[in-house]
Amino acid sequence: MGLDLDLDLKRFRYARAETDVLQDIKINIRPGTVTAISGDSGSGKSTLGAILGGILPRTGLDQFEGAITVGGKHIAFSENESPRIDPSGWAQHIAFLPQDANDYLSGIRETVAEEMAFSLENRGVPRKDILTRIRAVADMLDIKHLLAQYAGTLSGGQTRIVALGALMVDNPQVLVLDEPLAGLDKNAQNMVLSAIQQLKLLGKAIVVITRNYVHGADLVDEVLKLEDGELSRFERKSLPSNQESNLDKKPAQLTGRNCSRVLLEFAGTNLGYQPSAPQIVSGFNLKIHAGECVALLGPNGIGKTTILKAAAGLLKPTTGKIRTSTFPGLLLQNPNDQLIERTVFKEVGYGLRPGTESRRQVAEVLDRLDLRGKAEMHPYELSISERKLVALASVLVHEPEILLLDEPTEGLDENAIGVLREILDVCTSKGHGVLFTSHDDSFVAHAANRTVQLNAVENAR
Amino acid sequence: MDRFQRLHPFTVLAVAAAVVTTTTAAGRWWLSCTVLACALIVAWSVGKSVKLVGLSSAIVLPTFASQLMIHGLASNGKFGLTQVGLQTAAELGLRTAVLVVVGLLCALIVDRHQLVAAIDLSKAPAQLGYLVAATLLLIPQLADRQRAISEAQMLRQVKFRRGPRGWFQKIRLQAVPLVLSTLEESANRAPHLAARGFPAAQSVTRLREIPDSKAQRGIRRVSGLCALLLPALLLVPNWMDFA
Repeated sequence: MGLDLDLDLKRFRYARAETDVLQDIKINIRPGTVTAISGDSGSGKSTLGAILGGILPRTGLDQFEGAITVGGKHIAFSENESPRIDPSGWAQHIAFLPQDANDYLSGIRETVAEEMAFSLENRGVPRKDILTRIRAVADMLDIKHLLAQYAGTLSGGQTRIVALGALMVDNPQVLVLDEPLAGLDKNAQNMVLSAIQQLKLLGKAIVVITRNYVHGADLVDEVLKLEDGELSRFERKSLPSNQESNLDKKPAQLTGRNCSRVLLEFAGTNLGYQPSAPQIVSGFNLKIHAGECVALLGPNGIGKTTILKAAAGLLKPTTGKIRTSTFPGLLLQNPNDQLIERTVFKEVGYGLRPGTESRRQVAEVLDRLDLRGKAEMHPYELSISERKLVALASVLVHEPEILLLDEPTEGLDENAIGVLREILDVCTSKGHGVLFTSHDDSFVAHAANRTVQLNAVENAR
Repeated sequence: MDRFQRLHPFTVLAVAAAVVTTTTAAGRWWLSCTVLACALIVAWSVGKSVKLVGLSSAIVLPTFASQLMIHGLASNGKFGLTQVGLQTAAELGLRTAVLVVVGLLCALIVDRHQLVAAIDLSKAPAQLGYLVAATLLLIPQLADRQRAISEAQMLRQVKFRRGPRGWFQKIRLQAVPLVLSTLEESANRAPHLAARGFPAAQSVTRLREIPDSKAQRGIRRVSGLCALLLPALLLVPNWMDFA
């Protein structure tokens, strides 16, 4: 039996905010359908997802006027009336996967299987039933090989698919998924889309929140677009179809003697986090020349992030060598790992010598990334896309000759990706080198002059 | 999996409790030394002897030093080394050492995930498992967070001085982001934990299986009785004499 979910939202405003994030939104979610909600960064789509998922409004804090009807039960919210929703009871019917999948995982279970079992354990489901459900979901998502792995060592993409698995194990009727394909490799994307297809056939309702719903467009029944907190409907035909991006490389921008200068070199490098544990990367060789933009490709968990961290000096090779001509700048996959200051301005200027010159440099970088208006905000008040840009600004302000970017487009909207492309063009035209990891074929096709494919058998090809 | 992973965590803790209470009540130097030696052998057998010695020294040596100051060097208002003072300091120091070394040994050989699962599966209130999990897993999570902050600072080319001044500088520059990011992470994770039924109000089940047997249950019962009765048997005659 499926579950109908209707939202009639008059307005929603976060605690202490001066304006409404969402206004006049009506959504009807029917069993056996896939609804895509798209929109740019800051449009309010994650907020809308959290409302559907029962995470918002926070009782006594946020202002929410409207009503939610679940399976015929009407729950009205107004200025005077804000009923408290039991999050556990709600999640058994309507589950929400946040954009930062780390937030969904408990962080207190040792293995992936235990992490997936977490909610069933808390509800007292017998062990035998837990095992059956985990195996079924692991089969569906092709993550059986991860079940015994330590949950704290998952890559960004693996974390997302495990979090989705943990959510599916609970068997909710409505699944609200915020950027479920972000950071996933091709195989994982196909497995998730196939799982969505199967869930749809089982009569589940799926809401996919995305900046650009290209992958799996065929599955979508309705497309909703959020702009400035207001919703408009689109025909499914309006979605761009799945197109394999042309990975023909654009030529390197520098020519002559300068472009032969090697900025970064890996020579027979083995990398691992513990000397006693198996190596994550073995015998890796790579040279990045001046003016080159190289994309490092490969499935989730293959060691792409490890290579970037080693290039930035955060990890020493167990054998082999890493040579760099200068101190590289690294943008991490999760911007939250890179933000440590109390305002955007201080964040970007962190590590620079205090003075007028530093302030000028910070202001210039903030202008380039269109973040000037956010300078006095706390980084945690920003959307994921904006946080990523702030983290990028904190790297660019040091003007690194080697720029290392880990999944730079993950969580960014189209405008921000455009800005990122311009920045990479400027870097390479100045003779700087860029090495980035990505599962975004379109971005790779536009930005990289060379790709390096990692695979499980031999790490570098 | 080492041999202690095959034991129920409560078995290890019950035996440790019996050993500590009995040794402390007995107050015999040779018994304390035997227990300490046994603890070192156990630690060596699982490859944790260096860690045990290092951690124990950090606690036991200052304790011995303070006992020596109180009883050995400055007893009866005079400043001087006496045999009685030394003996008292050594006895009290050894008792503390048994508690510290056996306690640390338990911390090193009992897997924290096994312990939390054992509590969850026991008849203890569900909230106890939550409290133990929160306590035992907080420090590793803070350590991960601190590592991430340290990496973020290294990426900004922030360099710390060597020595104690550098250490204090590092603490100062990492403390605020550590607290703020931990609070932010907790705030973000809390609604999802609640949605996943945590902390549970009723008894929970666990996917993890904790090894147990009739023999282990017997050992636990005997150890529990020993922990209560042996100290009583050893101490009551002394109290009678005192009375």
